Amino acid sequence: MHRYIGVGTASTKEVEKKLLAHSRSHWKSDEVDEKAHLKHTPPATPNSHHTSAAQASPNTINKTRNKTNKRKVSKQHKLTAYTPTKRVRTFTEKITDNIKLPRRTEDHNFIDKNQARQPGRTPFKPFGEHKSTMASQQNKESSMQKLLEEEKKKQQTLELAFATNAQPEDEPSNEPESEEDILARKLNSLLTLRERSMIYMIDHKLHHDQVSREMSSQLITLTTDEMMEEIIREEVLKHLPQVIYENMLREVSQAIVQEQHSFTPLGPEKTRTAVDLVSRPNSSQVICSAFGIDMKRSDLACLRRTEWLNDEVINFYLGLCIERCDNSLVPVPKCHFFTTFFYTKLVEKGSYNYANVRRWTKKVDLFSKDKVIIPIHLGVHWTCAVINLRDSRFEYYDSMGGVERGKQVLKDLQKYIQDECKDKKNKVLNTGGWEMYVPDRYSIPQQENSHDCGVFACKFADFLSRDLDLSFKQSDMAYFRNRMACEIMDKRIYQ
Amino acid sequence: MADQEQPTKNEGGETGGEQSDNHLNIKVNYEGNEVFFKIKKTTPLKKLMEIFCKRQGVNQDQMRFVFDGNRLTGTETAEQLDMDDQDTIDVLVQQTGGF
Repeated sequence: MHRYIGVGTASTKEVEKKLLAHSRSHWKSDEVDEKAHLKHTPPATPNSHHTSAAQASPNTINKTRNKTNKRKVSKQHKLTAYTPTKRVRTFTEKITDNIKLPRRTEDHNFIDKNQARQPGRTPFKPFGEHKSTMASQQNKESSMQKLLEEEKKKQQTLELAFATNAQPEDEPSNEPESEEDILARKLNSLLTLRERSMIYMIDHKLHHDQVSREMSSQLITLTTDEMMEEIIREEVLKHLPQVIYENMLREVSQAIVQEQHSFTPLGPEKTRTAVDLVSRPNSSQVICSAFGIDMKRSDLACLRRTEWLNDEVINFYLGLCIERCDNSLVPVPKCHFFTTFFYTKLVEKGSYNYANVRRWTKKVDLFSKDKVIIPIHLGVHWTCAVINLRDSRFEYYDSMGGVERGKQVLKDLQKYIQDECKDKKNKVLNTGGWEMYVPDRYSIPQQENSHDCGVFACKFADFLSRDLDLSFKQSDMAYFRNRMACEIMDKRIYQ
Repeated sequence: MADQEQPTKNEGGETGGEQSDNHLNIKVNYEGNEVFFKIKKTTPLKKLMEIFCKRQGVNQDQMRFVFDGNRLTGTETAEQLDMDDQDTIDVLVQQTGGF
């Protein structure tokens, strides 16, 4: 027995040393974390300390087992295996009573009850019990349990082997009290140390797990929150009135731009028709009649690519514009179109003469209109002038950028509208403050040849009567010529 | 037959115009020169146009007859156009232009 105790004490010392070192290292490493531990597992109260130890004991044991070498484990079991003896049992009871370590008295029943009072049972049974209580709480850690069971079996075999060795020397009652006291004290301190280290390991692990779990969940919620926010913002923006308005505006402007730039292609059939229509300059065959004009093939022939437009085509086309304006389903400015003869008559023989055109507005009230559109013939050139009654200004659009001539034309028109007002309304219309808008060659589409001015003039009139931007250009003129031929034949302006 | 639409430039006073309700004296203004025609209210103006162009020695295809700003094709009659005595028909030459 001496030998055994000697061995036992020596081994206890060794184990104690190791555990001390171990716990110290834990103390050191966990010094900072300890405060954090206290938050969720406050070890200040013995009960909570105790429960935490009890809860995670299988874990910790497993851990410690993994860490300590086999020899150490065997020593431990040597000690625990020794406990089933009566004397040791009384000692342990004494210890627990005297020292009154609260965590131990309640918590470590495996020594008090299971081990000491039921000596027949293996000392590792309590771990199994603990495990079962833990299992309910930590069902997920089945792998851990498996490991534990394996460990348990190992320990059991070791224990059996040791028990057979130890049994012949199983008479500690003969030993002096002092020895037993020492043993008990050592055992007690050993157990305390072990438990403390266990507790801190458990706490550390729990804390670490929780922190990592919280962090990962935080990360996930952060990213999902950001994603959700993004999605919601997009959805909300889609339905905000301002955004809707802007989208509509963009769509409409795109549609207009598309209309103006692609100008709804005629298609091969219409193009062939147009080419055929303009291909007989010597034919007097009347294609159609309207607006007092018998449109002959010879007149339409001026819509060939390089031909000059004559008054017939322009007046016919403007007649179609009047019809389109009067029957428009979409809101357009109210426009009156004069014929190409108006300005010629107004300034016949180079001098302004209102009387020549006084009767031209017998059936129309110009002052009920938004715009009066006047094609201007200047010898060999076509331009377009507008009396913009709505915006109180005179406008002159010349595809050759003739600014000076435009100013003269606008002065004549200014006189005309004042005379017209005096004649028809018997009122004085002061247009002195009206703007004279004569854009130069850089402000409006310009012809790049010497034969397209008529088409430009028609298109100025057409676009201005719809309040559209003058977005066409020289390269569109061939298309417009074909299109005008077809429109004249069909006696309607295409959409 | 021709007397119905004959030019009355020199005999304006002679015809008087009030002799018959069916007839009108119409001025034809061409480049500032006025030519009078005595026409029947129910006769299409085509006849007047033809005689005018013939007398002026111009190609009718290039002449534009305009009454109160409206083009005349020749099928209209003075009655249809609500013409009064001494009203004026403007004659203009075809307009063309390229630059």
